[in-house]
Amino acid sequence: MQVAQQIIGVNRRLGNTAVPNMQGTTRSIFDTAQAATTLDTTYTFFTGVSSRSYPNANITNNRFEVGESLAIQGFQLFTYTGVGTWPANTTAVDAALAAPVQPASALLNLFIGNQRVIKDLEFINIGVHGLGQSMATTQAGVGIFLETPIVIPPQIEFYATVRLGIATALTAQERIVFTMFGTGTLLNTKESF
Amino acid sequence: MQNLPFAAQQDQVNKFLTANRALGANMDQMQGTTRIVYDTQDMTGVSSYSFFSNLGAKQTNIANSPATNLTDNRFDPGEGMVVKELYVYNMETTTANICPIANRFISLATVDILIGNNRVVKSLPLFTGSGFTIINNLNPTNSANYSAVRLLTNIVIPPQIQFFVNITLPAAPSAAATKDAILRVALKGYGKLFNPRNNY
Repeated sequence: MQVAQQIIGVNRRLGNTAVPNMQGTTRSIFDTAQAATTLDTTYTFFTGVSSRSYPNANITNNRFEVGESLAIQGFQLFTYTGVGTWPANTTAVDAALAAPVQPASALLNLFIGNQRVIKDLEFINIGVHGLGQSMATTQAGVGIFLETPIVIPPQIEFYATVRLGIATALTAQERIVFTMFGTGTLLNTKESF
Repeated sequence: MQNLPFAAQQDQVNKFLTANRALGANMDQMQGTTRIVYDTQDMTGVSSYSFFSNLGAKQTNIANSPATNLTDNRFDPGEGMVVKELYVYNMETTTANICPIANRFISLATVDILIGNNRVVKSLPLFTGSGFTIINNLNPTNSANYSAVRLLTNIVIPPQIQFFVNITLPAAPSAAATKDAILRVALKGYGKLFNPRNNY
């Protein structure tokens, strides 16, 4: 099944019959958390995202607007050392970001509406070791691709929890960024470019 | 990403023709081609940059190359393209790597693409903290200056419709960066050229 067909099928079952007429796009949404100084911490992303403005997040609510949806095809997590007091995050664009810390493991759970759709998915080791469809970088960034798209329909709340295991305690200046990306739709009701 | 066989590329042609027919333009007989359009901007003391606007004033050289390869931010009648890849990269006219994407705050920038009055790509983060981008990354070596992705859907730019690319930075460049740091955006994809009689 193509990703677009899955988006249409899920939305049709929820009564969103106009979604096939919306603009197809490539979508990537992210949220940022301030690192805790404990070695084993669970972070919640996208809940309360309205209090974290760009560049800490690129969405303002943890539910998509009418006509918008996302078929998640992969996740990415990376860390960097921020500047300023959380959640303020301001510096010159050419300022170097200090070397980040690479977490050792991450257990991901993803919730859409009242359902858990990803259950304890470990993806740091997968990414670091380049297993399956995954990528890693020396800049503490790891990404994996899912075996099946997961559709987030419009107006449905979603959030993710990531339990990070690390060898060395992070500092409060560390920022942890969680990204979900894939094919999506945007509200453009007339034509589909 | 590898090139698709020609049969699979029919999707881009179909979407291009369908979107144009809905707008009243029959493009079936025009010449198929590959297009790359780009625009360049000096980084100044602002955090938002609009590309492909005011192209008439940019018919000049930046960093020893034409600032843009378009004269207007709308295609001529009979011309159009399907955007499949997006490149963003910076370059420096004198000092090497004065504002590289990798490991810098600029790496949290996001990209919007607007066609007509519609936003067709919304706040897409391309650099994600390091110049490393997961979405169909075309340069997975974590380049200091380049970020290029192959989009997950085809996006049609019909003829005679204005288009823009906006880049939002997390902060305005400092004085050091504004000296000679330059951002360039390029769109690559399938296109059509005006050839009313023959189709090569």
